Amino acid sequence: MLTFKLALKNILGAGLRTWLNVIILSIAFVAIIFTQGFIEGMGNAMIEDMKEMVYGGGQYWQEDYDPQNPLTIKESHSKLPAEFQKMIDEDKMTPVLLTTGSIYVNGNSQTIQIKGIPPQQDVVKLPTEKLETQSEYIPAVIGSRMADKVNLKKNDLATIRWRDKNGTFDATDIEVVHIMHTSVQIVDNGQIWIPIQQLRSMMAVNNHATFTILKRDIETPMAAASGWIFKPTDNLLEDVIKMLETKTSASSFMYIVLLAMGLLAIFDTQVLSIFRRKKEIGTLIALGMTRRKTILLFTLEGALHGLLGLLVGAIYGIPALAWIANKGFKLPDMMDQFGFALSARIYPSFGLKLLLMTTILVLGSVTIVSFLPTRRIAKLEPTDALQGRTQ
Amino acid sequence: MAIINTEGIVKRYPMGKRKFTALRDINLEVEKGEFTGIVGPSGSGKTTLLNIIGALDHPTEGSATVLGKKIETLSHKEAAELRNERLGFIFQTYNLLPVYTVFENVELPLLLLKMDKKKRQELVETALDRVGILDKINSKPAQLSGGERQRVSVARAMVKEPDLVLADEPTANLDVENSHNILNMMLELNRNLGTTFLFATHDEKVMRYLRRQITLTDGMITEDIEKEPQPVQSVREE
Repeated sequence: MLTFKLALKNILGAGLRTWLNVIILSIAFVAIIFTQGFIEGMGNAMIEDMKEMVYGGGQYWQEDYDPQNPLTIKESHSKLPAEFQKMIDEDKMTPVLLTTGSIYVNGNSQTIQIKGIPPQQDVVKLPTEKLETQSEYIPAVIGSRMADKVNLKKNDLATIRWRDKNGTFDATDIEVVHIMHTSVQIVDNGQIWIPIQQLRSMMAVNNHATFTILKRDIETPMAAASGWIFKPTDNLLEDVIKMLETKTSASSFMYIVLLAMGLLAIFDTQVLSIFRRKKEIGTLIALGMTRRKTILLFTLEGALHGLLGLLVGAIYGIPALAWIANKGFKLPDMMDQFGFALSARIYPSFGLKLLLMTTILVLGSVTIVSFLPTRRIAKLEPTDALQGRTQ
Repeated sequence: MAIINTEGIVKRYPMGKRKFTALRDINLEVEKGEFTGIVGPSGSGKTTLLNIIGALDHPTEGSATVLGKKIETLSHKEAAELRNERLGFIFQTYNLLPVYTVFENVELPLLLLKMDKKKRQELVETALDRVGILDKINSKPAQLSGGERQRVSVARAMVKEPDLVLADEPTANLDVENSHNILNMMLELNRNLGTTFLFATHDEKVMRYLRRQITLTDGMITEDIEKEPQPVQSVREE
């Protein structure tokens, strides 16, 4: 307690030098929490959006369906089992039928996935109700990225071509009845959504689906049905979570830079302090302070910079971060091109774990950095220290 | 009874590839209550001897017993305990801690002794009163004159009423008036409290106050005399 009091008195007595270090550390602390919270918030938003738009509470895949292998997609569908039909009727599940084809717009063609979904479904938040729009042609909903890519606008017509169950090419016209703006690229890029009955008719299959999406609040989904494999959301999001981990690792670089900035200031102060305060060290030893206590005193002084940095950071950081967490953070549109499925507004997530981990890391590293230069005190001869001599 | 006893002390320092001998065969006894000075020119080994007696350094050869403790056998911790509990130091450059007030500087040795707050307050005020600087209790060292700083330094050395006070050139940075004031004050403390004072000095003013004068030349004791102190009560006397 005595050493703590002396250390506090010493650093407060050092005035501006202390407060400059404290401010640098507090900025590093708040910036670390902000960047990590922002990345976490971005990840949470992305996962939430994907669940809302496409993964729901999990999916049942037709046993041959492999989204990584486009060549098998056309064959990967089968009749819905009775237990699925019951859930679909109860609005706990929605079927999706999938085939590949091409779209022709203004003389250009592009490979697409044609997805059929019931227009009245309420399982995922795709704007499928737009597919109920009356049209002479097949009504289609596309995403804004797809619309930009093939240069389609609302009410435009396009021709789609596909192979029917006999392998023969067939074609028909679609009308774009709605262009959806979504952060989830996997329901947008290279895809068109049409009513499932139309697609079944085009493919000449009856009550078939490639996969079904379970409603999010279904607590105990069936483990599997014959010929269908259950994919829980964790499994479906595996790649996304891996990608997020990569992004988090990349953000660690920023974390290290920010922390290093603060630690460098402390290390510099400690080295300078021990160099400049040799006479003080000698006096303390002459007055009867042990070397161990002297080392502890100087280490504590450094560590207290960290503690004050946290306190000062908390004073302005808590209201600022709480405000940002509440109001969210609008990202520029171009961020969408960086591979993240981004919401229009990101709400950073500053969890207790993040706060605790950052606090422990900042305090721990500041203490270690403060201790390293103090080891010189152990080698310092009190007689030299009293004269302020460098050994 | 001798509170300092040295037997054949030799101190050598490495100096490049050679070794410099700072002290040679020092045999010395100092009794309790003495007001003694080790005198000699710069480089004669005064501070080195004082540092060994103050458990801040070890002899290369020989033995030094201070207040019953063999200096050369003490660990860092034991040496710190000896300094903390029984020794007081006064330095040429005062060595006050700049961020502490006068009160806090004088209080520091008592804090290291883990004394309770009330007792500390009482002892610090008594010590500051003895050296006549109680009115500056809340000042910082930077706000004091050289004489005032040395008074604080004396108060810090005396506050725990140690058995032995070691003063290294205590008047070297003071003017004549302040030097005599400080020396009179020390002499009075020696008389009233029975504290043993050991000086390292080459200041003629200090020598007037000594009852025993040990002269060091090139690291050897060349003279050890007892004499009557001739304190100067007012600067005009000089």
